[in-house]
Amino acid sequence: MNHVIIGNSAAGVSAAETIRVIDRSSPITIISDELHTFYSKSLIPDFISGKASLEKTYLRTDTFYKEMDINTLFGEKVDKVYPGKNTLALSSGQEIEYGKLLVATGAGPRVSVDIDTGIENFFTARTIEDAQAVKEAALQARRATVIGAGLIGLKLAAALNSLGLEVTVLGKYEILLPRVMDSTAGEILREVFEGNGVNVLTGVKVSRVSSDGVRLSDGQYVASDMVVMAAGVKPNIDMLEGTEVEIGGGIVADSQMRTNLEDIYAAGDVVEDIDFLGGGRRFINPIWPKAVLQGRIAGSNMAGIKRNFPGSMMMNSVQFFDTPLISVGIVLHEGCDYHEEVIRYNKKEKVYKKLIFEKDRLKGAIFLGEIDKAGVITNLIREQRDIAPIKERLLSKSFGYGNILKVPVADRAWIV
Amino acid sequence: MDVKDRASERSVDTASQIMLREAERQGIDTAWDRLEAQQPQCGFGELGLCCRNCNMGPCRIDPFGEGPDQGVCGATADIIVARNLLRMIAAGAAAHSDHGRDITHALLLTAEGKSGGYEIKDTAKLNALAAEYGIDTEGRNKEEVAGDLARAAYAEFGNQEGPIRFTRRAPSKRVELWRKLGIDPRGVDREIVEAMHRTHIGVDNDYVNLILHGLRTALSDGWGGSTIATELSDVLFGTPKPIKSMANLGVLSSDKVNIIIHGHEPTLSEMIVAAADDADLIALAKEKGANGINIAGICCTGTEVLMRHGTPIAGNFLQQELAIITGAVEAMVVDVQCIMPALPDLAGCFHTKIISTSPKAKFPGATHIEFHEDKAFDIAKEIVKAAVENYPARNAAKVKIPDEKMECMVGFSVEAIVNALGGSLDPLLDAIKSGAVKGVVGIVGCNNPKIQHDYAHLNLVKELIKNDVLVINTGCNAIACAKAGLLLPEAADQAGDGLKAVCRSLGIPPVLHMGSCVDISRILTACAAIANALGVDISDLPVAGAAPEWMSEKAVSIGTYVVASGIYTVLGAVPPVLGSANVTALLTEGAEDLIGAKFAVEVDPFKAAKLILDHIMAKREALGI
Amino acid sequence: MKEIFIDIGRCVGCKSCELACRVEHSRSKNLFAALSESPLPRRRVFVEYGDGKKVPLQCRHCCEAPCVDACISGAMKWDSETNLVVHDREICVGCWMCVMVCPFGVIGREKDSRVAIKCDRCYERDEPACVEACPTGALLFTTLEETEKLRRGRLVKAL
Repeated sequence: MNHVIIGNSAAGVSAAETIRVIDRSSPITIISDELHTFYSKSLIPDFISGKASLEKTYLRTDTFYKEMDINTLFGEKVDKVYPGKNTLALSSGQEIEYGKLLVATGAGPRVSVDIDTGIENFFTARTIEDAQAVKEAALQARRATVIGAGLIGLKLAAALNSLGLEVTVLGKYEILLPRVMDSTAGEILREVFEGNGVNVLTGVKVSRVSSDGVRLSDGQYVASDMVVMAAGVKPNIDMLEGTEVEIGGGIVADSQMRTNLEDIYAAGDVVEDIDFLGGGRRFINPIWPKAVLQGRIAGSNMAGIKRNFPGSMMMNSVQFFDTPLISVGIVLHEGCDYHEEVIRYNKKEKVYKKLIFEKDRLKGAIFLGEIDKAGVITNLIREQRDIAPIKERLLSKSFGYGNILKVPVADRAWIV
Repeated sequence: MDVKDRASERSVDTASQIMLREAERQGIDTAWDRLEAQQPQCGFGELGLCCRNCNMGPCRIDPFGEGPDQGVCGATADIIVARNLLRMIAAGAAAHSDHGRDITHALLLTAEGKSGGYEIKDTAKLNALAAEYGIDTEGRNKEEVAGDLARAAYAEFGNQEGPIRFTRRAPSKRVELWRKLGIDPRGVDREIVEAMHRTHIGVDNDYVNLILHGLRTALSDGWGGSTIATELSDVLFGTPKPIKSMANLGVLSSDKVNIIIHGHEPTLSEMIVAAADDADLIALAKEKGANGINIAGICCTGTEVLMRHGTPIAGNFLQQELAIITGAVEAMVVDVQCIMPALPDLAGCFHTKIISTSPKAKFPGATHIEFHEDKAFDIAKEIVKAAVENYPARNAAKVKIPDEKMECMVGFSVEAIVNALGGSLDPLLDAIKSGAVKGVVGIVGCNNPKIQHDYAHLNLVKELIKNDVLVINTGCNAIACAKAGLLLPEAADQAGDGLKAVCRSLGIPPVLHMGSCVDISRILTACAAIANALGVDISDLPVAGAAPEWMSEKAVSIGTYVVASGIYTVLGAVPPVLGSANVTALLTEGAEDLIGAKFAVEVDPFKAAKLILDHIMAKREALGI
Repeated sequence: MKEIFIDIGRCVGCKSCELACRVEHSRSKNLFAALSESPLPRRRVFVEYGDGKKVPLQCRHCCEAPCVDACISGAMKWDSETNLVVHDREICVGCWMCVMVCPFGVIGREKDSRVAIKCDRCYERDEPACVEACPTGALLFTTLEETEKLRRGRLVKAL
C-alpha cells in the first residue's frame, strides 16, 4: 500500500509515524508546500517574540524522515486530487499516485476584511515564513494592530507587545476569547492585557485596512505601522475542489477519519468535527492534541488496524503575561441547556474558576490565574463520568486525583 | 558493610566500638540501629514546621512554598517554628529546674533534720550563698541558715515578680540589657508556665516576641533553676575539688558486683555510693561470690559522684546500652533524664536489673524502688542489696568488658579553679591578656547517634586547645574528654605553647571538668566573675560556647541561656528552626544586635573550631588585647 | 519492568515523599541547604486527599500519554529505552497544554521560569526518592507481577 500524506504538521507526521510502526515496508510520502522540516505552528507567536528560535520550533531531527523511511516532497503544492485515478497533481506538474491519501493540510487564517491594494504592512501568521515577515516588520514598526481577539490574535498581540511595540487588539465581540471565556474571565483578561500596555478595542468591526492604519465601521481610526490578521480560520481544501469529497465547515470524516471516499482520509484542523459533548455543534477545532490523535487514528486505519477517534471537544491552554488560563469543553450557554455552573472567583488574586454541568456530568471548565490539577477535570469532561459523589469538591483547594477515586476513570492497575 | 566498619563508623571510642561489635554479634539493636530504622526522618519535624498545638491540626507548612503557607488557625512558618522552639526551651528549662527543686527539697529536709542520711557538707559555701540572699548567719547554726536558704531558693521557683537572685551575679550591663528587652526572668515556674500559655493556640503570634520569651525562660533556667541545683548541691554534698578517677567501660569489674548509676540527680547517687561502703552489704556481696561492690556512673548523676568522690564513670549518654551489653552489670539504677526507655528490654537479654527510683520516671519492665529523701540511705541500701543479690545470676559466658579505661582529673568548680590559680582569677586574666590563653570556651552537651559518637566532642576540644584556648566542659562532653585522656595535666602536651605553659605552671589539665549539665551554671558564674573583674559585659569577653553533639531539649535551653548571657554559641547539630527564615535569621544574626551574641550551626568540628577562634580573636581585638 | 505502585491504605499523609522529591531534585541534595536555593526545588509527587483516603501521586508514565500528544514544543517525549515520559525544560515554553490534559493532575508548573515540571522517576537512582522516603510502604517500586502477587495474597488473607 502506497501512503501519501498532504501536510507536514501535527496530524500528518503523527499519521506517518503510526503507519510506520504498524507497517515497516510500505512507502510513505509526505507532501508539503513549505520547505521546513516538521515544526510547531503553535510556537509561531513564541518565534515572533523571540522566546523560541527557529531551531526550537523544529519537532524532529534532520534525519527523522530518513530514519522513518518517509519520502518527502517539500515546497510542493498539491493542485488537485483525482479520486477516480487515485492520483494527485502537483503545481510543478508532477503526478503522484496514492493507495491511501491523508489530507492533513490544516487551516489557514481567514482574511475577511477590505484591504487597500498593494500595501506591504499587512500580515497573517500561518507559517514560519509569515512569522519571519512579521518579525522583520516589527523591527521597523512602532505601532501594531492585531485584528482578532481569539487565542491566536491575543498570542500575537502579546508577542508584539513583548517586542516593545504599541499594540492594539481589535475584537469583533464584546469579550476577549469569545469562544473559550465567559464575560467575567474575559474582563479579567482585558485587565491583564491593558495592565501590560496593550490597547484593547472590543465590539468593533473593521471596515478597511490601509497602509497607515485601520478604519473601523464606527468611524474610529487606529493608526498603525503594521497590521496582523488573526480572526478565524478556514480549512485548506482547495485541492479537493471539484471532487466528491464531502465538505461542510471542513472535510467531513467518520470516526475512523475516513472521508466519504474509500481511500481518502482527513485529520487535524482541516476536519469538521462534531462536538461530542452534545448540542450537535459542528466546528473546526484547531488544537494540537486533537490533530496528533486524529493523525494517529487515521494512520492506524490506513495501515489496516481499526481504531476509532473518541470525539472532539474544545480545549485550550495558554499563558498571557503572568496569567495562565485553560478552557475545556462547552463554556458558553448560547443555545445550550447547561445552565448549572459553579464559580470560584478571587478578585484580589485574579483567580477565576468555573465549572459547567449538565446534571451530574461535567460539560466545561474555565481556569484562569490558577490552573493546577485542571487535567483531572478535563478527563472527567472527556470521559463524561457521573461526578455526583464529588460534585461539591471539584473546586475545593485540595482537589486532585485523590478526590475522584470513587469515579471509575482510566486504568488503575497502579493502585495496590 | 562488615561489622567492624559499622562499629567504627558509629563511634570513635574504642570501648564503644568493641561493645557495638558485640551487640551486632548478638543481634541486639541499639540507638544507632533505631536511628537507621527511623530513616528518613520527617522533614517537617526537622525544619520545625509541624504544629500539634491544637486539634484543628496537626498542621504543617510547606517549606518550599507550593503547599499551605498557614496552619488552620493562620499560623505561619515563623509562628510555628518559634512556638515549637519556645516549647523545647520550656521543656529543657523545666527539666533542669525541677532537678534544682529536688535538690532544694533535699536541703530543706536535711536542714529540718528530716532527711535520711544527708548532711550539710560545705558550710563556707552555705554562708556565702546566705550572704548573697541576705540571710543572717550570725550566731546561727548551719541547719538554721540552710533552712532559710532552701526556703529562699524554693521561693525562686514560684517567684512572681523577680528578680531571681543569682541573675544578679551577671554584670550590671547585662542585667540592664535584660531589663530593657523585658527578658529579666521573674520566676522559674512563671516563665515556663507563660511559655506554655503563649504557645497555646491564638496567643503569642509574633515570632520575635516568642523568641524573646524563650530567652527569658532559658535565663530562668541558667541563672535560676540550674544555678540553684549546682549551688545547693555543693552545700549539701560538698563543692567539687580536683580529684582523680577513671573513665570508660573498662571501669566495670569482672569479679565485683557492678552497679551503674545513671540519670541526673546527685541525691540518689550520693546515697548509693555511701551504701556501697556498707560493711553488711560488702559481706553479702562476698557471700554471693563477688569480690566487693563496684559503683560506676553514666551521664550526670555519675558525674556528680565522679567529681565529689572519685567514683569511676563508665561512659556518656550513648554508652548506657553498651554498658548493659557487657553482661557484667548487676543493676542499673536510674533517676531522671536521658534514660532510654529501651533499657528494660535490653536488660532482659542479660541478668541486669533496671531499677527506677523516681516517682516522676517509671519504665515499663523495670523494677521500681521509689527513692525518698527522708529515708534516702535505707532505700539506697535496699537498692544496692537488690543488685548484690543479682550477682549470682551473672552469666560468665556472656561477660565481655572492654579493657579501655583512662585516668582523669575532674572537679574544677569555680572555687576549685580560683584555688588552683592561687586564690584569685588574676593569673587566668593575665594569661588571657598576654595572649598565652587566647580565650575560654565552654563545651557541653549530649551525644547524638546522628553524629559519630565523641568525634565532634573530641576534635573540637583538641582543635581549640591546640590554638591556646582553655576549654571548660560539663556533661557528656566532659566524659568524652575523660575517656580520651584530655582531662589530665599531661594533655597539656596537646595544647598550644601558651596554654601548655599555663597548664604546666599550675599543674592543671588544658580541659577543665566543671561538672554535670546543670553545672553549666558554673560556666555562667565563671564568665560573670571574669567580666566583673575586667569591668566589661560577658559579651565583650573572648569566650564562646559549643554543643557539638547535642540532642536534648535541655541543650536547647542551655544554648539559649548561654547566648542570652552574651556568649556566642556554636551548635553541632541543626536545631529544628530552618523552616522559618526569619527565626533562623533572628537566632543566627539578629540576636547579635539584640543581646550581643548569636548562634551558629556547624556540624564539622574543625570548621566549628575555626568559627570560635575567629570569634575569640575578634573579641580580643575589640578589647584591645 | 519496575514501576511506582501506590498502596493507598498505607499512606498517612506525612508528605515525606514530597520533601524527599524536592531534595532529590535540588542542587545540594540536602533538605536544609535546598531551602536556600533559588529557585526552590519543586515537588513532582503530590499527597492528595479524597474519599477519606490519602493518596501519594506522581506521573504514571502513560503509554500514548496525553501530555506527549498535547505538547506543542516537543518538550514532553516518550523515551522508548526507559519507558518513561520525559520532559525537557530547555525546550518547554510553558503553554500548559500538558497541565490541561494530564488525567492525574500531576504535572506542575515552575512559575518563575515558566516551564512544566513532572516526575522523572529518579531515573539516575536505583529506587525513586519518594519510594525510599515513604515510612509506611505506601509507595512501592516493583513490577506489576509482584504487585499482583501482593494483591492476591491480601485477598486470600481477607478470606
